[in-house]
Amino acid sequence: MSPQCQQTRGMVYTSISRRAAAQRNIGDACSADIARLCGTSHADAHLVECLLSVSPAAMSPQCNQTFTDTGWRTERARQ
Amino acid sequence: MKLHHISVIAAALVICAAVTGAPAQQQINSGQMATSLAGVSNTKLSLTGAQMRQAVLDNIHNYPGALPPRPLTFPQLENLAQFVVEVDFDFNSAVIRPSSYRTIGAIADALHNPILLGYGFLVIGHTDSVGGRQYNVGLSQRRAEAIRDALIDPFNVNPAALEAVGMGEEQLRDPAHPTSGVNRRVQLVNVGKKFCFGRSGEQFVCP
Repeated sequence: MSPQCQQTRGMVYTSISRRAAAQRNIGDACSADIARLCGTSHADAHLVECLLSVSPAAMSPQCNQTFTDTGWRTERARQ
Repeated sequence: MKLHHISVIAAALVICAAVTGAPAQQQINSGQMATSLAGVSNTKLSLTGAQMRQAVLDNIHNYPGALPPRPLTFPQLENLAQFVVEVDFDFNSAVIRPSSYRTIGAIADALHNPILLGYGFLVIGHTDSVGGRQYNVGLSQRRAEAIRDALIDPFNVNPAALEAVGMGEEQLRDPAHPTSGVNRRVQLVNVGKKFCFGRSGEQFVCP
């Protein structure tokens, strides 16, 4: 594998790991935001509906970044 | 920066593979894939991958010939949420072409969607009729496994949620044109809730 390919491969795995971590941690990272902005629990798929329904500006920076990193915001934009 | 995240990943993998001249793949929309898979039936699937593989072999044995005289059907799958995509492989090989990495990434994105959390999926590979029927069963099985493996690594889909099944040419999409490329396809089927999650996020097999 060429150095360029190795470097690219590393970037790919880092990006995917970051996305997986964000999807794993979104409940904790956004629980306060969800309670404050949506008045609901952060269980299952309703989490995404809640976070998509509010302005990013209203979200805490940590929650906003984690939600972006999950990829779910982008995915909805493509639907 | 984070927009089109998986697209960037897929593009990077294409660069890594350094293969040129591959045909352009249609843009796959992971959101639509997730929606297609989310129309879930509450019926628990009473059919295993092993039973499907055996049914394929039985069909070849019971209805021999160069082509299957009639398509093998699985009525249990017909009402389940599913979609079909095209994934390109090297000829006579289970090596996924780089042109299809974007598709694999989009499938992974769909499977990571929280509306599909805890569900199990069949990855069903189909071939055209070029080659023997028995051989095509093995080839489609290896190809379905290659897709499953790519979804697991690098795309981080839960291995326990995926089962690969090779259908060979037993379910031609266009029986009038058995060598047509439309017959070569991959079917993703949502087979229902497989895992449940506890209050602290631990995973267990649903009762």
